[in-house]
Amino acid sequence: MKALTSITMTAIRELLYERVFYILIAFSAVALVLSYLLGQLTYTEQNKLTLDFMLGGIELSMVLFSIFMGISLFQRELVLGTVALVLSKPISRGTFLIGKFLGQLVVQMALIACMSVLAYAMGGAQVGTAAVFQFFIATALKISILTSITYLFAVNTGAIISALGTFLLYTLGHLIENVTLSIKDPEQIVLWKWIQFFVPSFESLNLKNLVSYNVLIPWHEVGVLMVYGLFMTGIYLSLAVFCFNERDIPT
Amino acid sequence: MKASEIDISVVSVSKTFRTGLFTKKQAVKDVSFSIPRGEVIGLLGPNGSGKSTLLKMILGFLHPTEGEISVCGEKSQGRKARFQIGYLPENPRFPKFLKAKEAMLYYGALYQLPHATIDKKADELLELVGLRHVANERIKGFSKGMVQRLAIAQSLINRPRILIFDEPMSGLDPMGRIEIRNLIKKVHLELKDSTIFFSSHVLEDVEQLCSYVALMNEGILKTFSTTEALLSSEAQRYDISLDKEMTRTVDSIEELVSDLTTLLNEKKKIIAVHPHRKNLEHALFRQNESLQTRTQEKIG
Repeated sequence: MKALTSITMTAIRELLYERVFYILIAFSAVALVLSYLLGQLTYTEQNKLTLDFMLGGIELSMVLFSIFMGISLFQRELVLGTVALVLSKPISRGTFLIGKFLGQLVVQMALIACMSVLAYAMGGAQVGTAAVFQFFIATALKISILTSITYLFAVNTGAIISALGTFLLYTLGHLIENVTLSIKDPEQIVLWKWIQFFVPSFESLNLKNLVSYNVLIPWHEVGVLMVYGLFMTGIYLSLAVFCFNERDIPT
Repeated sequence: MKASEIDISVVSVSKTFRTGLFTKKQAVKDVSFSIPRGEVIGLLGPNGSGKSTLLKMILGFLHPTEGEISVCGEKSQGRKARFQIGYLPENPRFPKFLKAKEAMLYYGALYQLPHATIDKKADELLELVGLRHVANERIKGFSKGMVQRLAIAQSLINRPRILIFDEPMSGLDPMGRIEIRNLIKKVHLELKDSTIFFSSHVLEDVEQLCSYVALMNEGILKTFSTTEALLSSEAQRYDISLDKEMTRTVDSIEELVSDLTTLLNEKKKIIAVHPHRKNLEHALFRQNESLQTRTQEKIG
C-alpha cells in the first residue's frame, strides 16, 4: 500500500510538472469559454444550450486529457528508462501501473469537479446541483474507463496507435447501441452483440442532455452506472496489468 | 559450494528476441553460472554481446526464453528476489521534477521501509556519494557524474545483499570513472558480505575491482573464473630491446635466461629487458584467440 501511495503521489506531481498538462488545461478553458459564447449566441433556451455546450466542452477536454496524459505518463517511463529504477524495487508491475492510473484519475476527478462547478455557475443556475452532481459521476466513470483503455493500449503499442485505438473505442462506445439497433440481419446482430460485450457503452454514461434539461435519473440507476463503470475499468485495467506482466521491458 | 552460499544462480538460460515479423535473434545462448556470496564479479564483453540482456533477466525485466534464474533462492521474476537487490542501470534516469533527497525517499518507499529509516539512510547515502550539499536541488540540473552517484546511492537504500551495476562507468570522463570506481570499492568495504555484479567493456575497471570475471561474446558465456586464475594462465613474457635491432619477445623466464646468455656471448648490446605485465587484456585476448583457433579447426 505504501508503494502504491508513493507511485500515485509521484504520478500526480509528474502530471503537474508536465507542459502538456498546462496545454490541456488551457484547451479546456478555451473550450469552456467558447461553449459559453456559443450558447449565448442562440435565441431560444439560451441557458440550456449554454450549459449543454459547456458540459460537452468538459467531456471533450477530459477525453483528450485521458488519452494524451495517459500515454505521456506511462509510455514516457518506458521510453526514457525511468521505469528501470522503479521496477528493480520489490513492487509488482501491477502496482506501478495502477499507481500511475490512480494518480492520473485523481487529477482528472479534481478537474472535472472544478469545471462542473464552473459550468454550473456560468450557465446552469436553473439546473439543480443534483443534476450537475449526476453529470460529474457519469463523466468521472466515463473517464475512468477511457483512461484504463488508454493504459491497455499504451502497454502494448506505441503512442500514435494507442491514441488512435483509444479514440476509436471511445467513438464505438458511443455509437454501438444505435448501430446494433439499426441492423436487421440476424447473423450480423449476433456479431454486433458480441462486439457490444467488449466495447464499453459510453453512451449509457452520457447524461449531458438530461442534465441540461434538469432531468434527474433515479439514484438507483446511478448506482447501476457506478457498478458498470467500475466493472469495466477493472476489466480493462486487469487486462493492461496482465499484458504488462507478460511483456519484456528492455528499458 | 553450498546452495546457501550462492547469491545468483543462472541455469541454461537463453533469450530470443523477435526482430521482425518472421525474424528472431538469440541474444543469450544457454548460459549457466553461479555467483558466490560476497564477491565482486565483472561481466565483460563487447557491445551487443548479451551482457545487459543477462542482467535484465536477473532483474526480472526480461523473461528468459529458456532456463531458470534464481536470486538468493527466489525466482528472479518474483517480487521477493528484488528485496535483496540494488540496481544501477546503464543510463540512470530520474523523474526530472524530483530533488535528490526526494528521489531517495521515493525509491526507499518502494521497499516499504519506514519513513524515518529512509530519511536517515538517505542522508547517510547522499553523504557517502558526496551529494549531501545538493540534496535539495532538482536532479534536472545535475551532471552525468552526479546522476550516476545518485543512482548508486538509491541502489543502496535497502542495504542490498546483491548489487547489480550495468556499465557503471559508461559515458564518464576519466576523473568520473576513477571516482565511481573508488565509490564501488568503498561500497564493497561498507557492505560486507554483499555481492557486486557489474558489466563493463573496460578491462581495467574489472581488473581493479573484481575477484571473478565472466566473459560473454555473441550471447555465449566464454569464460567464468576467478581473476587470479585467469591472470595466472597468462604466460610471463619479456621484451628484450637490443642495439640496432628490433625488440625480441620471449615466452618464459628460462627462455629469457638462455637468450640473454647467447646475446652476451655474441657481444650484442642489450638496452633493456621489459617484463609484460600480467593483465586481463592479454589473458582475454589469448582466450579469444584460442577459441577462434578451435572454431576454425572445427570448421576445417
